[in-house]
Amino acid sequence: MRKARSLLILAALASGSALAQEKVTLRFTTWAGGDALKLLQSLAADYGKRNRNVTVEVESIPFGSYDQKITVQIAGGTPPDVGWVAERSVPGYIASRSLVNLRPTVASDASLVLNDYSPASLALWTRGDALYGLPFSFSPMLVYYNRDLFEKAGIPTPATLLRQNKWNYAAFEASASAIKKASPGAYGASLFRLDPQNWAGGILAAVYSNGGDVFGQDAASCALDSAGSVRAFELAQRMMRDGTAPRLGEQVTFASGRLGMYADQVSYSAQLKDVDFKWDVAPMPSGPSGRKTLLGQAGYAVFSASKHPREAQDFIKYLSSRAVMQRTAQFFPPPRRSLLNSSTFLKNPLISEASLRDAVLKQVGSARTLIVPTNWTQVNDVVVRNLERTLRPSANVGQELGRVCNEVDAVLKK
Amino acid sequence: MSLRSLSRAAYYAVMVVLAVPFVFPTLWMIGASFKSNQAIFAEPLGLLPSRVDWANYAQVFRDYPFAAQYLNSVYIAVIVTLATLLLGALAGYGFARLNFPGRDLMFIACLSAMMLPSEAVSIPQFALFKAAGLVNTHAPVILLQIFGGTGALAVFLLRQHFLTVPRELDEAALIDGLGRWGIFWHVMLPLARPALVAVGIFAFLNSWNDYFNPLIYLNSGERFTLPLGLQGFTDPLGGIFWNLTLAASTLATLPLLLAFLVAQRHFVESLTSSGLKG
Repeated sequence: MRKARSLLILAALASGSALAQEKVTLRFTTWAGGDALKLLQSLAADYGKRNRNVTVEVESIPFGSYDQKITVQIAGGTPPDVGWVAERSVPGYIASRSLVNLRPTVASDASLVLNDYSPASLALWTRGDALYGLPFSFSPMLVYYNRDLFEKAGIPTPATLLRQNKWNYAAFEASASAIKKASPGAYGASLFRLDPQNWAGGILAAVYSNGGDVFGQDAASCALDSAGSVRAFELAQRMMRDGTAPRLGEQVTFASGRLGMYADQVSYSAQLKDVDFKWDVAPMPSGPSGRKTLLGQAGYAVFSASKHPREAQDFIKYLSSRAVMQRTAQFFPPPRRSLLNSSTFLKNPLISEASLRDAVLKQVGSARTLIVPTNWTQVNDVVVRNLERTLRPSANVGQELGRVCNEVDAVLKK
Repeated sequence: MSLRSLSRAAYYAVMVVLAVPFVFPTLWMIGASFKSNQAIFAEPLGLLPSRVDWANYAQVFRDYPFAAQYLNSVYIAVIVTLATLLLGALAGYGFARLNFPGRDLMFIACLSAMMLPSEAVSIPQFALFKAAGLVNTHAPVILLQIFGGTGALAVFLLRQHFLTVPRELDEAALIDGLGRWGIFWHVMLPLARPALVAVGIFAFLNSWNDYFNPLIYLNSGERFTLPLGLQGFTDPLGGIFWNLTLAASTLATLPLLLAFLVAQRHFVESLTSSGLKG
């Protein structure tokens, strides 16, 4: 009898300690690919070693289907706990109350000094006093340029022009034209991505630097027909008409070696590992309103439907810590100012330190994030549908963008 | 040259021209799968690689769980095909020959599964599989094919086929001493071969190409099937490595191409005799 009782007590003790150390499995979703995915997997494993009761499973979802899958999972009651959220989706997730306010956790943690984040990097995630995510990438659009094509054309590179204070959109256009003349099989430059859905990439840097915008105050009205925006689109139209830029939908990538200049983020350099031409990066050119590039952003967030919000937030704290962000910095320029200057970020295997300083560090201060309305997908559809018409050689760009804005304004009022 | 052979030559010439839009992309994909990421876009219309380089194929298997994904696709498609054939034939026979109360109502209910778009029912289905603890397993991916639109199509096609078989055959077999099961197995199934081949092809293709269900139900890379896996060859922020994607796509297409080349006559025959045009 006594033996049985002591056994019972033992069992109770065992179950009690099991309760304190309850096993938690966190699901962490991302659209990262290649080496970045491997790094995230090893970070998740490291975290599991430090926190014996937590296992983090990294789930990779194709970028194009990311939000669809997350939405079904939230609606179906098996939401991921933590995940990447793309900048264009942030307003929608916040509006549908799908993200946890991290402010109380972050404020209580001394190692996560929010002052270290550049204010521009937090704007997208902030509503009043609440903070719905922590960015891990703070990535300005920059210019990739083909040094071989510049050499062949016998013209100064963007880096040289930058030092002479002459790196502006007029010089960009003239360089592109010279490259096209010297290498007829190539194109001078492109301000657009292969996929027109992604039109906002390069052209927005030109729009901002010309004093234009996509939206007015609070993303409540369309500003694509403002004078500055029209100037930027006219530049793109001119370059396509001259044949210095590939037309929309033409499949010319920078990695093919047939494109003199191309706007993208640092992470694109992974595509250039094995190319047989020399290339480098420079900041975007400056325009009448200065040098204002577009800032690409993505962040970590905890989904409100998570059953383990405490552990999930702790995992985000780990991912956003200095030590870890120093490791992710090899792919994503870090939003923490103290790290942007760090040796890990500046020691990139493919890009020189001097170029990174010019193209990333010196650009982020004046760079802007495109903050979109919650129905961005519909707005984007309107723009994409009209893009080809707007950029036709004979089109009156101002008029066409006016029509686009009428349609966009109607969508925004809905 | 006689008029007849002349018209024949013209016929073939037109056919060859018409085939170009279908054949060219496939040949381009195979050619490009041997090129580097740079070379693919350096000469976009070039079909032949300057040299055959297997590096893309090696990397697909070395750096990504592609082998596991390939196996998943194969075994899921085989199970789906066999199960669809078996259930489709049994149910089709039942609907065509057996009299039971509520038969026509059940048949209409079965057909309605074919009409519903899968997106419309995805959330309740997801809740169901979640309650059964089957999320992130292959069970939903398999079951939703067998008991979803593909299975309903199979039942419908086979029922229509069995209806065209004269009842006298059943009766003759009955007199010769066969039971229901014997009639189904020895008389009806052999007669249904063309329809079975057509259903088999559809079931295999639907399962092989299914993107939506694996996207919704599978979470870990090793459990992905090919359509999902093909989207994974990207740089850190999701930019596509075309050389790897095309090598993997070639590998994903080859079994279908080979199967079609080997059994071409069979396929076409079965499609025409089952009255189904693809």
